[in-house]
Formats: sequence, C-alpha cells, structure tokens
Amino acid sequence: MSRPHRTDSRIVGMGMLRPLLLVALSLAIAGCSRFGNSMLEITPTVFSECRGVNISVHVAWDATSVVKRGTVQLFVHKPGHLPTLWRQGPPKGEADTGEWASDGWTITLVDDDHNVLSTRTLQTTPCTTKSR
Amino acid sequence: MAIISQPLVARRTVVTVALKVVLVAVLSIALWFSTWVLDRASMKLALFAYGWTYGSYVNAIPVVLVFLLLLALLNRIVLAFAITLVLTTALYAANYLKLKYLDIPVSFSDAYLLGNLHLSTLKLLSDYVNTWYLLVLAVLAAAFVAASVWLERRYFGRRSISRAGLALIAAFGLISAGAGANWVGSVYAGSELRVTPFSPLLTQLHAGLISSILHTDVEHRRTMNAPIDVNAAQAFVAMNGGKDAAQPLVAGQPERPDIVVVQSESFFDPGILKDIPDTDKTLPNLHRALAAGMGGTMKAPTFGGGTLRTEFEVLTSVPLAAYAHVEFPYLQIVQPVIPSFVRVLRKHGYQTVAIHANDPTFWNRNVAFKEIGFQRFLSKTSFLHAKQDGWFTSDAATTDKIIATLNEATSPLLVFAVSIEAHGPYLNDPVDDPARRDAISAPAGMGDKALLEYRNYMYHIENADRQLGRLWDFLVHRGRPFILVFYGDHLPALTYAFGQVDFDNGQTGPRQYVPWFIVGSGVEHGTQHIESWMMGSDILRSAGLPLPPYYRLVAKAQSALEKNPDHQRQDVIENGIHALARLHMRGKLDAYLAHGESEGEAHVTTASNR
Repeated sequence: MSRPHRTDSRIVGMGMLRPLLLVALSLAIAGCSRFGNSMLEITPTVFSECRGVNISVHVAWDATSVVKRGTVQLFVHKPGHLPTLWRQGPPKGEADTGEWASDGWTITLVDDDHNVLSTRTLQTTPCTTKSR
Repeated sequence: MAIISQPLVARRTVVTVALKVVLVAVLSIALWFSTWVLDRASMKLALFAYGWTYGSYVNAIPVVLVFLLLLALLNRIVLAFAITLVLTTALYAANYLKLKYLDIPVSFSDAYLLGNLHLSTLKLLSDYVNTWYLLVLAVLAAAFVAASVWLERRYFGRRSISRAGLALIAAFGLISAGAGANWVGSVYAGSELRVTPFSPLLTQLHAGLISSILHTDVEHRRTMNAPIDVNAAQAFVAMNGGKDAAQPLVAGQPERPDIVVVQSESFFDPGILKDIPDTDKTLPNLHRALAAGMGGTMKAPTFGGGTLRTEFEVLTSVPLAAYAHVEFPYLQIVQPVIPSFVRVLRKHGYQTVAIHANDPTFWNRNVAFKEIGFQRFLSKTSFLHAKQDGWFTSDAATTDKIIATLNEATSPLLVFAVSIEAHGPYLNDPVDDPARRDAISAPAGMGDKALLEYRNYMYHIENADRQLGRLWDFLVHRGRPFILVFYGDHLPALTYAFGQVDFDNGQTGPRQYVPWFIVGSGVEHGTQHIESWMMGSDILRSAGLPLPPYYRLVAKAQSALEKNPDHQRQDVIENGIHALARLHMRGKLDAYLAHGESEGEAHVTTASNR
C-alpha cells in the first residue's frame, strides 16, 4: 500500500509549523539545560592583540543558587590542551589570574559532581593599524 | 464538498511557498547555530565564543549546502535536516577525539585517510571509540530514516523545477568547494578568517573547523604548485662552511656494512619527566648505545601519532616544513619515484627491505615504500602467528623478523623496521605480564588513569629496549660490519599522564625530543641534536659512503644550524634547504646545481607548471 500524496495547501502549511516548533524547542532546551543560575564572569572578555599575547584576567563566580553545600572547582585550559585545576573553594568568589591568559583561554566552573555550571572563553580583536 | 474560489487557492499556494522558503531559511540558521556550538564544544570552549564573526558564518556554508542537497534528493525536510546534523556532529566528534589524542584538529588531509579506509584502520580507530555505541546509533539512524521516508510529507511536488534547481546549485557548491574553486579562495581568505598559520588551533578558534579546513585546502594546492624560492636556495648554496660536515664519518671499509634502522613506536626517554630522575635501569640499552655511539636528541615533526611524518622525513631527508600544508606525506605526495637514502643505498649494491607488522596499505605504505625504493616489504602477512604483547605484534617478533631477514641476506642489506608494540591507546592495554607492569615505578601523585597509562607505556618501551639490546648483541656477534640506527618516531599520546606530570624543561609535550643513535662498525662516540630529516645523511656517512649532492647540502644545513644559533642566520639556512628539498623532490636539483642560478630558475619555472 502506498502512502497518499497529500497536496492540500492547508495541510502542508500547518504541517510545516511542526518542524519549526521542533527546532525552536530543541534550541531552547539546548540553550537552557546546562547553565542553570550560576554566574561566571571574566574581565575583560575581549582584548586587543596590540596589548600582547598574554594578559591578566579578573574572574568572578557565584554558584550559590545551585551549590548549597560543598565546593566548586575552576578549570582553565588553552585551545587543544587538557583543562587543569586553577581554583577550588566556596561557591562564590573572585580572583585574578597571572599574566598568562591568552586568546582562547577558557575557564570552566564545575561542582563537586563534575557538572559543568558555566564556561567562558577569552577572545581577542586583531591588532590593525587603527587599533594601535 | 465545498467549492473554493480560484483567488483563495492562489493565495494559499503563495502562502505555502513562502512558508516553505521561510522554513528552509530557519533550518539553515539553526544549522549555522548548531554547527558553531558543536565547533566550540569540540574544543571545550564557551559554546558561542567568537559567534557572530565572519568565520562563524562561512563555517556553516558547506553544512547548509549538504542540507539543501539532501533536501532536494530525499524530498523530506526533517530527514535532510537530521542527517545533516548527524554528519556535522560526527565531524566534530572526530575533531574532539583527534584533539584529545593527537593534539591537532581534523584537517583536509583526513579526507585522504577516509579514501584509504580498510580493516586495520577501522580496528585501530575502534580502539578509541565504543563500537557498541556506534552500532546502536547506526540501528537507530536506520530506523529513523525508514520512519521518516514512510511518514514524512514530501517537500516538493512532482516534477518540481525548484527541486532540480536546488539540487544543481547545492551539488555545484559542494563539488567546487571540494575541488578548491576560486570562490573558496575568496570566501575563505586568511585575512577575513583571522588565520594563524603556525597554529591550526588558533585558526579554528577564530574561523571554525570547516572554514580552516577549506582555507588549508586552498593553501595546500597553492603550496604544491607555487614557484620555488630560488633566491633562498642560492643564498644557502653560497654560504660558506659545511664541507667537513659532508665527509664520511667512517673510513671506507672493504665490506659494505649491513644497515639496520629501527623506528621504535612512540619511544621517548621518560627521564625528561619531572620526578623521574633517570632511566639507566629501565632503559639500559638506550643509555649504553648513547654512551658508545653517535646520538642524542631528535626533533620529530609530530606528537602523539602521525608516525608517517617522521618516517617520511627520515627516509627522504625532506623536511616537511618545506611543504607546510602536507600532513600525511605518503598520501599527499604521490609520484613514481620519491628520492631517498634507500635509493642511494641501492646504487651501492644494497638489497632493501622494509618490515612492519601491520596491514601493508595502512598509511598507504605499500605504495609509498615502492616509490621510496624498497624492494621488499614484509608486513602483516609475514607475521602470521607472531606473538602479540598488548594490542599489537610484539617487538620481540619484529626483532625475530629482522634477524631472520639478515640471516637470509646474500648481499649488503638495508633493513628498515617500524615497530608497533608500543602503539596506544595505553588504558585497558592487555599486556602479557600485568604483574611486571604493576611493579613499574611512576612519578608521585598520579591519578589512577594516568598511572595505568604510564605503566602500560613503560612496560612496552622496556620491551623495546630489551629487544634493542638483543638485536645489537646479535649484530656484534654475527661477524659482519654493521650500522644500527635507532630512534623514536614521536612522543606517545599519554593524555592523562602528560596532563599531570610536567617535563623537566617546563615545555609542553609537542616541544619535547625523542632519542636517536647510530652504533656499529667504526662509529665513534659523539653527541648531537638533530631533526629527523637530517638522519639519512648521517646514516650514509656512518656507512662510509660518499654523499650525493642533496645529502651534502643536508649535512651542510645540519652543521650550519648547529653553529648558528641566531634566528636570522637560521632563517637563511632553513629557507634555503626547504627550497632545495623541493627541487630535490621534483628531480630538478642536479640540473639546478649544474647550471647555476639563472638556468636553474628556468628549470624551476618549468617544474612548477607541471
């Protein structure tokens, strides 16, 4: 038995809303599922390559809404390298890195169960004549 | 049945077409977004780092083209979208794994690998992923495709012109992208993408994996066809010094020595790790050889894998830096005759044999070894019933084969043996003697996985060292002159161990060196740091053989680099030898040296147009 070939424009029009809704829903779930209400901020988030390769970054984090007891860990890595532990301690705090954060440097906030709460990546702008 | 007026039908048709266009646009935007998120995830970055950049947009072009082509071919939009998403996810999963194990992202050259897939490749790759997961995924995918074909509404009507047009446009876009058409060079230009030539990772960071792959492909084509820098060659040829460097290291002997070259899989000296004071007791034969012969440290052009890169440089004496975008030389540099020290030895009456206990087609070796000049290649089929230790054929079995081949020889012999026992992965490694493995001392503070990985690795290279001693003793007692060459092809991919233990010099794994040495009849003690493309020249000199012109230039470069630590001078030497290496590969070096700069330039121009 072959499937009927439906061409009624109303059916086609309504039917196409479903994939749209599906995509929107998937993106919404993907966007909201991981990060909860924890906060991780780096300052600056972007720096000019004119400043040099490495800079110092101020990091502030607050995971008190998701980590009631226990500690959090902050892992850092550069692109292509394994993350290494940078800080471990209370769910809220702030600290400065040394002058070793560079383009693509990434910091990840995780809880005691190794759930990733938030991730930030340091970005650069190219050093052009104008930006000098 | 209600009668619907003509204008209403027409209006509904227009609305339907508009909705279809909007749907394709929305799904294309969703693909751009998800491709960028996957790209970031494969590098463990924040999920929208460098979003809204030029690189992020053009990175998705091939993905959207695949989606449009599938839509036109399958006539089902959800199915086309899902397949595209799965393929994109697979690409980025491969990128994640390659970064994890090899420290380099997926590249255009990997397409050559896919073209050469065979059982042993699949077996090796299956060691790094869970085969059962893949099978379950394949079954689910098949069920999804079947259900979608059955249930999903056709997107285009019968004999749709727009469907045919879409198929043509998408196919043209994809084929021309793969062929490196002009538009690819314009869209994926380095300045727009913020390409960082020395760092594929930073390029991917700014531009995305797919953008950097297409950019690299265009650059690769340009590199292979680019004119050679004759001025750089001339400047190096005109440089003073290096004549002594080209002299044989050993006086001519009445008998040609047999030459045995062992390329030891993933062999490095863990004594360069912090908390490992020395390896005199664990690798005694390595240290005995370094004390007796000529050797030291060697810079290999790869880390954690990519054996063929070091192998190619050793055999051909061509620095891969001369071909910056060639990642898999056996697959990308294919020509009937590849010049090598193997071919030089054949001219001196040597029989030439390669030994490697793996599928002969792996890395395209069966083709490449013929081009390089080996007369025989003893591969997996010559190792039936050979002993395994861990995942692969043992070094003991490989040494047995070397000894048997030497015993059968009726003329001076070159044996080039590529060991395989110490190949990763190093976790869950089924070693023969777990008790010995578990007794191996390791740096303090290693986690469980790192410790197991390190001990499994040490277990195998202790075996390699033991077999080295056995082979050396055999050659000494055999009563014929010999040269024994030994080196590691690269550092191992000890993902966990290298993440927890630093190196003595504070540098990362890819910046470490492997050991090398030459011992044998008349070879005197000396310490030298080399790069792997210098090895061929040293082998010929150690065998007391006169150096052909290219090898004299290599010896000169080796000597000059050692004597000139300043960067400006090093640039002259390296640029010069790279230009000369490319002339050598094209078979134009002798003509260039014979006719001088002006006529050489004419030769080069002709060569570049091939």
